[in-house]
Amino acid sequence: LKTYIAASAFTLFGGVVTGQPELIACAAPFVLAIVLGLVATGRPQLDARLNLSETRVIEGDEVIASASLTTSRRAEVEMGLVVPSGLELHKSPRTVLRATPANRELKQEFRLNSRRWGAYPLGTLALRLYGAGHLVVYETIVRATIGLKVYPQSQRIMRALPPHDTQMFSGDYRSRAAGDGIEFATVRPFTVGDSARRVNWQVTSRSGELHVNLSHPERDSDIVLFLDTFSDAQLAGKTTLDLAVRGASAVAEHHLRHNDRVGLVSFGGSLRWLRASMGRTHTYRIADFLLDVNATFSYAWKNIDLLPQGILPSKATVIAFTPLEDNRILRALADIYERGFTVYVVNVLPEREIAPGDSPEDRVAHRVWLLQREMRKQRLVETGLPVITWAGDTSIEAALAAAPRPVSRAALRL
Amino acid sequence: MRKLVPVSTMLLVIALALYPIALSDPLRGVIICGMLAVLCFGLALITSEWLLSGPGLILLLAEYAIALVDQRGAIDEAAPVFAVGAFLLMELMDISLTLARSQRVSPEVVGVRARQLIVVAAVGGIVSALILGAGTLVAGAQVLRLVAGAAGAVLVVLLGVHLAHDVLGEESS
Repeated sequence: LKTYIAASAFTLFGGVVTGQPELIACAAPFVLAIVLGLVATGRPQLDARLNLSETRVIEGDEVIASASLTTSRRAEVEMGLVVPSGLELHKSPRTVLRATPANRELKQEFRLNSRRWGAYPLGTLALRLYGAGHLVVYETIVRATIGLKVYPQSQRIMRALPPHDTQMFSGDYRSRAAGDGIEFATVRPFTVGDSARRVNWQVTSRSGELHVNLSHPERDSDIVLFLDTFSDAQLAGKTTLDLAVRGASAVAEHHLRHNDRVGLVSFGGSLRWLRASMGRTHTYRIADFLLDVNATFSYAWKNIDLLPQGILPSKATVIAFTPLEDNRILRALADIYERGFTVYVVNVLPEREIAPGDSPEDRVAHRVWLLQREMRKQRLVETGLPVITWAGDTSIEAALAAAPRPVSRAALRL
Repeated sequence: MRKLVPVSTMLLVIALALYPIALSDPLRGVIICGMLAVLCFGLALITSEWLLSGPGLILLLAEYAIALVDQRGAIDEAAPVFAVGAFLLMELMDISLTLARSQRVSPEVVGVRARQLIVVAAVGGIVSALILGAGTLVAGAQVLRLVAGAAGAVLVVLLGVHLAHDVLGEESS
């Protein structure tokens, strides 16, 4: 509109000053366009809505966001959906220009591909309405708040780390102690209170003295997944936090399937936890907890004293997913270990994925970094914590299978 | 469509820039204005930035004005064609930028836009010719020329309102 007004004014003024009727004639189409455009244009009343086909999906799933728009006047509408990082438009244009009739609903679908797990606020629709002749443009942003939860695609694993200590409740693991169970443990002489059904008649007849069979009781275990959220390092196509969340999700699912109690601790700039529990409801609680895991930068020193009682149940096995980049997490893990828990450390920042830079200084810095990491790992191993490296290219099951047994504190004291 | 419209726009710019040069003896001012206008429109198309097309249009009109002043006395009968050409150029420019910005444009939008464009360009051309005719008739009389110009403008407004209800009536209803 401004360009047309400027052109009309220039030609009309020029025509009068120079006395050239051709210049005045040149203004005619522009003046006509201005008049027609303004007469046929008015501020439209808008009603825009956005709906999602699903509000909970698994990583890689497709979601359809349907925008519906009603305007009080006929207009040309350019609409674009603001897509948060982690989601991407799939087989859909970023912006669409369509004509909308007056008081009739216009529908536009945007297909979204969920690339990365997380909780995303969706619903910001950028609208640009053109008046007749595109002389007047109304721009507006419609904000609706629809939450889309994208759950991490977890691997289904058949075996995880065997618990070092089991709990009192019945479960899927063979306890190291002898008692009532199915799996045979040993034979011992009969004592008062033993059940007659447990008498081993073969040994009894040979020895002439009553003997009973003992078996290992089946017990459950408590697993606490400890996520280091002090830092999140970018790797090729993934981050260390991605690996940690995927690994934790797979391990949690496995243990919950085996009737274990699973708890979660997000230990970083902000401290969050989920008390150990079991069952289907807890599976959903864990999934929701993992969606909100974020790396938060902080200089504050943190230790496990900040965790409330009961978050780390006695005899729990702690599996820590960490890029081993922060000394605070090393201190916290050593602290947990010293309090009597079995701790496994899963390193989610494989050194081979970080290539040195081109300059000699970069290569030196890379070597220093490697030495620092080696030192950190050595410190953990010397403390008695086994360190497993998982790059995400293989199953977490394979990485856990290669885990050495944790060294007992008694052996360390010797 | 996405390539055809910008190419047509560029060809139209070149044609419009060459016309004033052909009209008069090649003056340095005319050539410079023409080249700058082509440059402005070219940059606007490359960068998809509408802002550059405004100065481009003013330069193009200035080039034409200089050429007209240079051949003082003779009336350029092709002025309505030049006017319609300049208007079409701006509209094609807008369509090119819209196509470049929007990833998908529905055919309905293009149809409505083309209809509007043809009607406004045709009526604009007729009005332009009428104004030129009136200007030629009263050549020499400055006051009469101004009155004719004003009458032309009133005619434009009346015609515009009438057309707005007829052609674009469905949009305002």
